[in-house]
Amino acid sequence: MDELLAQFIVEGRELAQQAADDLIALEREPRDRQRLESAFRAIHTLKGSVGLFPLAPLQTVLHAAEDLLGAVRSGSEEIDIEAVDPILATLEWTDRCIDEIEVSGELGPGAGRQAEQLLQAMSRTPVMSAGSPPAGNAGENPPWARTLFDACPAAEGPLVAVRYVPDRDCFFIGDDPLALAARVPSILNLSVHSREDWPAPEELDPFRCNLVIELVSSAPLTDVEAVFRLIPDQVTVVSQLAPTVPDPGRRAGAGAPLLTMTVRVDTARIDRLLDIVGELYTAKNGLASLADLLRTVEPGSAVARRAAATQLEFDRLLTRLRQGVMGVRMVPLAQTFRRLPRVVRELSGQTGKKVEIVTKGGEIEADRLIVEGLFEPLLHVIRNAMDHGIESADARSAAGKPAIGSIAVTADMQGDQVAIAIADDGAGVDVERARALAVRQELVSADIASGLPEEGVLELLFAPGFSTARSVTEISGRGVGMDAVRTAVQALGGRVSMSSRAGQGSTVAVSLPTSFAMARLVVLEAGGDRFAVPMNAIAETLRISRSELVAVRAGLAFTLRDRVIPFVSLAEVLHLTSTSGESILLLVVEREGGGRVGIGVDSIGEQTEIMVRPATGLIRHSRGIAGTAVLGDGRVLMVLDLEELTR
Amino acid sequence: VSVEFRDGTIVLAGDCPVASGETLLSQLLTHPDAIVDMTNAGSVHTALWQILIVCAPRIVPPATEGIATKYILERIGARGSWL
Repeated sequence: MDELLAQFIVEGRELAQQAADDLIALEREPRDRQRLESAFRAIHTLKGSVGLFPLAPLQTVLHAAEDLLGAVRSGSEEIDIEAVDPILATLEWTDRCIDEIEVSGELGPGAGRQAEQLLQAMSRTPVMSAGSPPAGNAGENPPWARTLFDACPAAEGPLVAVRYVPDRDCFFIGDDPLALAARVPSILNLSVHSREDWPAPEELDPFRCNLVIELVSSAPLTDVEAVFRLIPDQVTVVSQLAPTVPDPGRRAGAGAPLLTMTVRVDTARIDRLLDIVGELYTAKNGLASLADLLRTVEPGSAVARRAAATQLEFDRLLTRLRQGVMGVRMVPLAQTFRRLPRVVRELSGQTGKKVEIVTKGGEIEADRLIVEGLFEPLLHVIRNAMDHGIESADARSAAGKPAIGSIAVTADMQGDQVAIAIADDGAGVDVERARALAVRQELVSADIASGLPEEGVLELLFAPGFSTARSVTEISGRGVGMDAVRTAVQALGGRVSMSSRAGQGSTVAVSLPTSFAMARLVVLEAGGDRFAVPMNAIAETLRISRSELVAVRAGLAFTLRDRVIPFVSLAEVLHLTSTSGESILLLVVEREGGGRVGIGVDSIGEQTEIMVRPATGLIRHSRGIAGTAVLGDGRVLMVLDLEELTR
Repeated sequence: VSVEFRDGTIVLAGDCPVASGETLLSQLLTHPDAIVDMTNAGSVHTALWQILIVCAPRIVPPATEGIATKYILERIGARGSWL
């Protein structure tokens, strides 16, 4: 993908998110001038970036949103809440447009129509119907134009700045951008920049335009615009505005270029680094066995000692390297938390329940995949809370609670884990009803259910298929319940549990690692394929003869030290054909809830220390896959979750 | 002929259309130290200016002044410091 477009996709999403954050905050605090300015700046910059690409419908809509916000800004002290909805809708649409651009490089087929609807919605807001300032003049000049204007301090009267980004293929259709720019009357200054870094001369494509032309003219705006009337999508023309009153929210010297000590790196590059670290670990394991060999063959010799010392040093540096690379991948939880107010706002609209969400601990950092992966389970929990937990305003008033419900998402570090609590102040879980439902849904027998303590009943809520919904609603109750939450959290290497107090609300507690630790894995074969399982999952390995297996109820079992242990064949569980013969190789696995299970495999291979990454993409929702690991030779192994596979 | 190589000099003469860009680039690559003489150049297409910006040869400016001559030429030669 074009580098500039790739950058826009990242920045565009951030700007849309920033503007949405500000607007949602403004709904609560309509007098917050700083938020208003921030939203305006974000939309303004977003519109500017969009202008670099042929995305006319998006630019038109953002332009209108900027005008609308500009009109709000110049109006009364308080923001008109009615203006917020269409702008938020615009930002959500912008997000979807960026998704489309990321996939196909262009806007979807319905973009023009959607843009039209958004424009209409914005024009219907009271502030716009009351008359708006002329388009494009809301607010201040964009930074590039300010730079151009500043370069012509002696000029009299308002100036016009032009930023002309010719299409890359414009030479082919006969355009001569500099000749066109030269037709602008009264040019005071002109500069030419490269759109992307210049290649070496021998790599230059002479027919591809890589120029950005900026100029300042003292001619009237309409005369300047007339020159570019055939290529409006490639040109931004702005009129110089009278100097604005300094913004009190801005620090002195904010006009100077801001030096930040950060650099934006494509996550794929960091992932590649992590792969290399993984390969180094495999190499390290080889080095360790070489050092061991030398110790055995030439005990106490100088070469054996040097090999051992080198190996230790290598270990130490590799650990630091891994920590360094993992550190680069860390992002604040806020990246996911900040998406939640929009979710709650949308659900409030659907349920008719007013709910406020507060987040705390967003500054805590975790691996990017964990932070991103957290969104889905949080979304499910919040949906559940709003649909089933929080009562209607009437019921809340009757119970003596504030009419507006509340959801608090709080993160805390606990050791090397981050604990996230999602607490609502709703009605709590009706334990007796949940107990009865679990029996009716045949998740547990009536006998067992009646003896379960409250925690046990709450645990049943995480069982696949459990649903408390009285009816299938738009929001939850479509079979996507707490089991989806548990699956998603476990895929990230975490745990989840729930507590509830009748009438006071429920709390879902999620505990997650902050990064992916190194795991000792055993490579094994089953049904002709290779897999890996965590070493610590295996209690022991042994070999039995097929004749030792006996049929017990629906399955097979064998006896080990006077205990009957259920048997499953890994190949069968994975729907593969087992190749083992009379003699069966067994992994004995200790189960979480107590008890053991014997898992038949074809062979057991090497052990390796390797990084396990959560399953992504197609295999994300596959049962029994804990993640993937890249071996030293580049092969990717599925890491199995034996507990889940044998459940 | 709008672009020609003569005695260590690349000469641009008359109007230089986009099509002459390829010739100019290949001559600049073959003779990286050649001077580009634009004294008798007429209108020079943006594609050629782009090549001159990237290759940054020494240039004898055109006799007639246009915006490219005025705002671009003075900066060629200091390549890397302004782009």
